[in-house]
Amino acid sequence: MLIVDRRAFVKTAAMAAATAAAAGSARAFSLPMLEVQPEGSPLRWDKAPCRFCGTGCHVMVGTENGRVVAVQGDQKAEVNKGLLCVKGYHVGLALYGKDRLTTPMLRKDGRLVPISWDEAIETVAKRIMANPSGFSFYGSGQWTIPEGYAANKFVKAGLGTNLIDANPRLCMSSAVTGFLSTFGVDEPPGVYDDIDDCDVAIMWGNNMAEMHPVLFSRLVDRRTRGEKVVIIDLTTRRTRTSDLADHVLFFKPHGDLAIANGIAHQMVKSGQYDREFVANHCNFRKLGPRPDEKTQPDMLGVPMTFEEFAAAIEPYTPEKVEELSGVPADKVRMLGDLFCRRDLRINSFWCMGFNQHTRGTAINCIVHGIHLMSGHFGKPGDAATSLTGQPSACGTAREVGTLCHLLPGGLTIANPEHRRLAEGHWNLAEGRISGKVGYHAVELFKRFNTPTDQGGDITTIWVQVTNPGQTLPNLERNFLRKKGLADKFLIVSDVYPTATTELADLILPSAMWVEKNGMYGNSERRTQQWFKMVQPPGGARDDCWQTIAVSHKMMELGAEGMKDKSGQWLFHTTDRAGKEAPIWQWEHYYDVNVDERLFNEYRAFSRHKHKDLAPYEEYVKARGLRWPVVEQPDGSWRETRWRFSGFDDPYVAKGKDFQFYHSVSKDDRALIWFRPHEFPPEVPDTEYPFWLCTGRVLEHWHTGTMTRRIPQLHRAMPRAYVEMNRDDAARLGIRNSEVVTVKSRRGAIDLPVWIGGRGDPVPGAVFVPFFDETKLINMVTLDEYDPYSKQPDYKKCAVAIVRKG
Amino acid sequence: MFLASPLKASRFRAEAVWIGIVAVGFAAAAAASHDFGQAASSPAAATQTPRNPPATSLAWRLNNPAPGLVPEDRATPPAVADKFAARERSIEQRASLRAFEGAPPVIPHAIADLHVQTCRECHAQGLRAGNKVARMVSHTYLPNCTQCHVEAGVTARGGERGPENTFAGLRPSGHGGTRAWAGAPPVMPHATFMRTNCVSCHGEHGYAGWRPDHLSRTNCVQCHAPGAAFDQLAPTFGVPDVADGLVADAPR
Amino acid sequence: MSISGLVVTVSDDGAAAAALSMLAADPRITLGERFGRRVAVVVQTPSADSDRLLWEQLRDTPGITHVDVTYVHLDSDVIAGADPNNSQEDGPHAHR
Repeated sequence: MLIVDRRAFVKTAAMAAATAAAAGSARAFSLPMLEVQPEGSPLRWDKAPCRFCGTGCHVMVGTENGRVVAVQGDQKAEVNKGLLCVKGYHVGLALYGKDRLTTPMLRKDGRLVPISWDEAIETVAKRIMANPSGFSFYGSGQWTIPEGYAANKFVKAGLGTNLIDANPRLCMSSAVTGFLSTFGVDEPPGVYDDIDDCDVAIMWGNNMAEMHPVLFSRLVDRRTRGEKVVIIDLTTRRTRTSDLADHVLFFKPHGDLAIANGIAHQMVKSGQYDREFVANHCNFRKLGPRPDEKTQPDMLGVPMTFEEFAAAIEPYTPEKVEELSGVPADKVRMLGDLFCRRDLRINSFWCMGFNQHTRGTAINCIVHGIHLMSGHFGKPGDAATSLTGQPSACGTAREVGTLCHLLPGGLTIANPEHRRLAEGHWNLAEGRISGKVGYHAVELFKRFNTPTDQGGDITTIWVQVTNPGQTLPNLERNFLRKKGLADKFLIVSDVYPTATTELADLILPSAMWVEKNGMYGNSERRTQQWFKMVQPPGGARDDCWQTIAVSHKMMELGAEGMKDKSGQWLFHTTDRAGKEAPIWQWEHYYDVNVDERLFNEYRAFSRHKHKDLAPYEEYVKARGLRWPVVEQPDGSWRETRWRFSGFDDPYVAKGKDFQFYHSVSKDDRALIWFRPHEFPPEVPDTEYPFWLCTGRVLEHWHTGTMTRRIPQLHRAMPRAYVEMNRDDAARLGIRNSEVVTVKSRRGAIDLPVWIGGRGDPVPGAVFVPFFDETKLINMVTLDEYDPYSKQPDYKKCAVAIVRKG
Repeated sequence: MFLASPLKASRFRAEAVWIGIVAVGFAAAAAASHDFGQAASSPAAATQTPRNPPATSLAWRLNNPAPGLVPEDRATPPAVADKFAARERSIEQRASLRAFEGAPPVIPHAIADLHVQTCRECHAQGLRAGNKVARMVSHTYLPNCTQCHVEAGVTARGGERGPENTFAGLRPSGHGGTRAWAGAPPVMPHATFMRTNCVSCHGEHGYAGWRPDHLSRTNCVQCHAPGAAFDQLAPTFGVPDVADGLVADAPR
Repeated sequence: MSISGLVVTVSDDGAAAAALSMLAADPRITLGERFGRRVAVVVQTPSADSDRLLWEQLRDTPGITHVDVTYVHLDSDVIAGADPNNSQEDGPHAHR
């Protein structure tokens, strides 16, 4: 009997119970079936990935009366299993800083004046149309996938240029070139499950306890259950990660190159590498000769025989490695011995220590190489894991290709066939997509900060969801000079005033996180989806809408490029009845699900390089899915955990253990690279005697624009400081909390000294976190970058510590 | 006494709810009424509730675990009213360290930035030092304490207030748990995720006003059910709580 | 809204009949099946307190010897309205 009215049901239940008791019988009675509707309980819980780091924890967001009121770790999420870090627990507060941007503002005569959205959209459209080849987007690894896709299509299809780059250029670029050089295709072959199975975890210049705390806990919690996990911390300073490590090995800047080569050396010398794996699945590679002084050799190098490799690696004896890196020879031997063992599973982890490195591509390659050579690859627990810093550097910038040399799905501008494929997907005339690569981040802003008549050909930049005014290296040269250049125009879409909005000519208030629909992709190739849960404040609007609205306005004003070859608008969208949905009008933007429409269009690109994405609705149901996601005969969608491994990757040919099906050498083999140790471009000298390393702290995410507005996080870590080694401080007569000047050839910043604090640098080195917008350490950092990835090195430059007065 | 669980409105949509209850026959009916089939009534029957319970029934409940055994003049001792006020203060105190109900508390004192395991010196068992209390950790053993718990900012490094934030977080009701009938053990009015150690709040180093009168019964969950509306999953007892901390001080 | 299922045991003298007509006439009470001296009864009142009061009143009624509670249901509006200082029932709610 099906009853819908709850009261009637309850009365029936009460009567049934009373009757049974009164009758005193042993007969069972059961309550009737009822469809239970949720009560008018105002509190609602919905899933979303966390707004912060690349771990991609899943949260449950509690909303009530149109506001976020609570956050819980999602117990059903595989990534974090209900656990969060302090930032994740407080992510809901990020929406409610009092100074949220809520009105578009235009700078007129030096002052920011509120304007209407219509005027703002038209201003942007006209500015771009006046000089389309002088306009570039600058986006973000915090862009949602649809946001990045829309901007990418806007530029590459709509404008026919490749002038779009994004902040992963500053964080993950070298990891990308490392993957491309080794496997021919981007992104980790392994997954977080490797954390659960490894016997040895090696942190390569990576403070995982503070930067990916939930993943670090996943590792150390295994010890609580009685498992033995050896943690080796290869580091340039003592951190909280060191606290829980079994071995802490301090190394000098660029020593990582030597150490990794030292491990390779021992494997070759002892012969105890995985000969079978190397013979069947690997080739050796080296860089070719330089064509000329100015040009780097081609990234994909030239073949190398094993004998040549052995000869090249010969000098990297443990003693030589000790000399180059500072790690004692017996510890180098220990590392080599570990890799030689076949009975252990080894998981290497790295993040910015490897990527923000003038030889970032090289070190990424070498560590992939030692894992391949030793056979510590492609099985649960055996992995070389590149960790991502941003929530969607993988999902958006890398996979959607929002960089000046990429197209969606891992296709590249340089490859004419890839351009044809993209033109096909986007229904563009042949040749519409330019073969000329655009400007990478540092180059882009350099040109923007150069007078137009002196080669500064970029005159307009539209920044979305990022803060280059704080994160670019050498800020004076690469950002602040814009101030004196009247013909340059900076458009910034953001949620709070930032170091970047300081110099903005047009500020567009934007919706953040659960104020809009979204999708992110984390470090383990897991694409995750969420729905809008609350309204953005005031006049704030989705970044994706802004891009689409400008595109439509440009088309109205005559920009033919905003139409495909059939004359249809690039973002043409229909509702379920087949009628066009006017999504360029904000009131109608949520009439349809624009995310779904853009994502399902983007999906088509993902097949080419086997990064298959499932349809949008699958991500609605799941706590994320790891690509390639392949449809099964029964209609379900199966994610892939270990790529290139026969036991799990459906694209590996039957019968093969491994197949690197995007092999650079086109023979299904991965590449083991030889790259030499090289010294950093700027090293301490008598004038600037200290190494400066910059980085993050647990409480603050990147430039702190969100976390510094969360009281619990701000109060826990209110300002930046310079960590000094105790002996160095004593030698210079510097006391704890004393304010000193940290000075480089490029700039200077005053900071209080912290001795014996969160981290402990080795003698001769100092550390400064970059979250504090009142202490812009990037005034001091060096803008040299890796020749292949173009990623700057924030981890090492030379500074002087000067006492004040 | 024959008992059926009250049907609670579920926050989450459920397709159908079946509740099967086996009447235990004679035993149930017999427990309910003293003499099955007999005429005699017995005002002094131990299972009967006393007539005209006093107005401050909270007092009655706290002091009358077995109905009818305690004389009425003990029904409203001052300690009971104090206990309720203390309970309210404890709720406020607890909430003051948390951005919202369910957030990990901030640390109201300075900590060692490295060597985070020093937390356990005081919080593994809890302790009282003068008028300060270090509560026992409420969740199973997790080695990376500072991942979730950060300083409240009252340290020598100083804290500025910074830009204001208008977030208003979820707050607990301040009321105790529901009871299926008068005298039944209350359901927990809070989630159990990360709170599997009841003694943390309700024990010796717990909050004022929250200590039960039967602390010596150590198997709390035998009688006290987790509130289904709070947890995202079924009750977590018996299921590993994120890290399955089997011993209080697990070896590294 | 509070709903309870009760077993009311009546005496075996003449007072029982009067008690039962009183029960039948009361709009808050629904009479169910009778098994000898025991009657299944459902009681619906605005709150848990008034429910309890009604149970007590029934016990005090001549002709009724026992009242046993077999089933209690509390609606959340009862819980929300409960006065913590003056109620036997407390409710679980976690909203501000």
